[in-house]
Amino acid sequence: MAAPSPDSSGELLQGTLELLVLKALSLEPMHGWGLAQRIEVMSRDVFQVSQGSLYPALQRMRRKGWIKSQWRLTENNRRARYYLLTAAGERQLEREKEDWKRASAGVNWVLGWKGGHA
Amino acid sequence: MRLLSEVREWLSALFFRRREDRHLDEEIAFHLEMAEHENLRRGMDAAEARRRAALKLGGVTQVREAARDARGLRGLDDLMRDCRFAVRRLVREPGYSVPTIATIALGIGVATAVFTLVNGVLLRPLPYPDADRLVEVTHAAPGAELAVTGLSWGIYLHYREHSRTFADIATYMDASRTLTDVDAPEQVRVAMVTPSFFDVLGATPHIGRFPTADDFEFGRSNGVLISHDLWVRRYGADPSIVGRTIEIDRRRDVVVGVAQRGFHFPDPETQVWLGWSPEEQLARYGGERASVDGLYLNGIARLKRDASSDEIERDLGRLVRTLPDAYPDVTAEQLEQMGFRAVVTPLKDALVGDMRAALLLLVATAGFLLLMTWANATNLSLVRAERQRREVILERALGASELRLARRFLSESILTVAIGGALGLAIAYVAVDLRFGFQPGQIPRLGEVGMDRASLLLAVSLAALSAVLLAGVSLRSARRPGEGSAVMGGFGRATAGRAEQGKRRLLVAAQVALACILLTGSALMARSYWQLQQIELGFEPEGALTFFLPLPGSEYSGYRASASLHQEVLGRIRAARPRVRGHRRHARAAARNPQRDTGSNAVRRHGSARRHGSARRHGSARPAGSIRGHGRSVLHDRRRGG
Repeated sequence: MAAPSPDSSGELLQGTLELLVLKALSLEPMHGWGLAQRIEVMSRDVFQVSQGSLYPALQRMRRKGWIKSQWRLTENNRRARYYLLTAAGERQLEREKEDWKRASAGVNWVLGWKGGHA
Repeated sequence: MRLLSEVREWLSALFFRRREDRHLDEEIAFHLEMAEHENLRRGMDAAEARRRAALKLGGVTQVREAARDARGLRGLDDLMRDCRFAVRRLVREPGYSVPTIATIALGIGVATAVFTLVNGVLLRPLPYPDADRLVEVTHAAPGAELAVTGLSWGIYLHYREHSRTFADIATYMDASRTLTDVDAPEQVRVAMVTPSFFDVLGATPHIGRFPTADDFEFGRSNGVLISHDLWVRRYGADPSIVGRTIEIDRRRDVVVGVAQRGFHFPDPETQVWLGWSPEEQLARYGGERASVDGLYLNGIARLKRDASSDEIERDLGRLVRTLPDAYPDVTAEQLEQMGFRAVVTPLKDALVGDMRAALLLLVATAGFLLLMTWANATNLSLVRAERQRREVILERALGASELRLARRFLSESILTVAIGGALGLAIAYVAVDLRFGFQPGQIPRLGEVGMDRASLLLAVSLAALSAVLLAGVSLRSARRPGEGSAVMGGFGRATAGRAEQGKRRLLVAAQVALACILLTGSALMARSYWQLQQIELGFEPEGALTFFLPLPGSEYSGYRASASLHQEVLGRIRAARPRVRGHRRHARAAARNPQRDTGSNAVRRHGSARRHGSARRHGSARPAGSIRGHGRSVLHDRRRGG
């Protein structure tokens, strides 16, 4: 599994990043930096979230109405833009989770194939 | 809902673009700060921490642009910026933009104007219903040295009775008359037409009705139709004109109707139509000798819907063969000897006549000119792209995408071509508005010519094509990987590669070749014109003007009456303008009763398709080079050595 990077704009990867963002935001509202950190931690450093694709993804998701943004103060009293999951975003998260499970199951079945004709 | 929110987001992004940009910048700055902070925490020194943070972000500008992209606004945003930049660059380089715009304007303007002319004259159907079924009917009698001649009253009636392929046939003649009512007398073209004339053309009156055979009683009041033009101009568009009398040649006629606007057949300036009774005419002028004497009528017919050209041919042959049965004054042998036969020509071809070749030549000329302007503009753009190559390389190095480069050149060429095209359209409008400097009548159907949707479409497509062409060559040339040294050595000097130079030379060669063709063509035409001017006329046209003064037959019947009037007119002109000398020419012809004069006129000019194409400006002075026959006074202006 390659890390989403600014160079790869493959649909799957883009979709994957969006799924991860949705999941992370379902835990609590976060700012961009926090999101990047959180995803890296949550994926046990498998994913290096490139900010080059994170911010465009956030803009895109906001346009689709899955998330909205608010300016809030951080715990260190810095102004930062926080992103919140909307109702549509929650529904989208469920949908994408299902899709992901089905897709990864499919991939696993293919990879786990032990000879013989299908 | 989702769509709504998208639209809302998009709109707010559109209207709060700057605010959103600020937000994004702040967000990125925050991110960088956090990353830097994190790096410091990991024990890096300050400089390294900042460097790493920036590195990881992957370029502030790129992130900003990508995020903007994601906002779905990039297009609009960039379009405006591209345009702004394009304007700036073009203003900065008048050496490129001015000649390019001028060239494009010339090419598109001329092409559009010529297309409009040709479309109006050659391509567009005549403004009558089912106009392709309208034909001109003439005769040829090579044995009697008559290449083209018209119909006699007898022949007209014969054809009307017995033709199997004509749905209807009409005859007409045109002449000049003077309107003597209201204020100033005015000369107008009038047409004497048989009642079926309007049916054949499929015309409908604007108001009132068309004159019928009953409206014409020789020597008495007629029922007449007047043109929409005349109605508006002379009678103030008063609908109560129908039923009122107007005075033509001091004789009262009753207006029975007003023609549709733009209806001017047979002459582009026909203003009055008089109804003719063929039977009466035959009785008066034809009698039994009605077949091949007096072939002075113009014939126009509407073909039956399913008439094939074979059938028409056979029908006409049969009609001519049966002529001696109807009118014994001519024998089959005589007809045979004359080679007498009927000829039908599609009315449009008859009207356009030999203008077709001239117009096609004009199209070819405009085409060459267009190619030349394209070659020129392409060349200018190539040279400029060459100069810009280093700029482009720099932009790419700084991260501009291919798309962005393409847009840069596209926006420039679109702007150039848009300005050029608009100017070209203006040129075309003016040219068409001024009727290309032609008088009505010099080119058939000139009155129908006008800029329409087709002209606009052509101009816009030519402009689009030009834009793509310019952008294409610029882009190709500018992003062609240079000779490696482009960045290093290219600064401060613009050198073209060998291939590029070759391409440009080819373009220049093409331009010169096209220019040669045009130049040779115009030189040949100028030579023909010059030779025409050298033809011995038998008089000195320099400084001479002619005018034509038709007199109402009711008051000036006979030579003496009109001759003395001519004398008096000349005397008055001389008194008022002492520098004018006058010669009366062909006074006898001038004195002819106009009623008869019309007849002789028609015979002389008969059947020539050029009838519609020749300039006829009765009642107005014009250069004597075009002097025509009779009824004319020649004035000499002493200033011009006449």
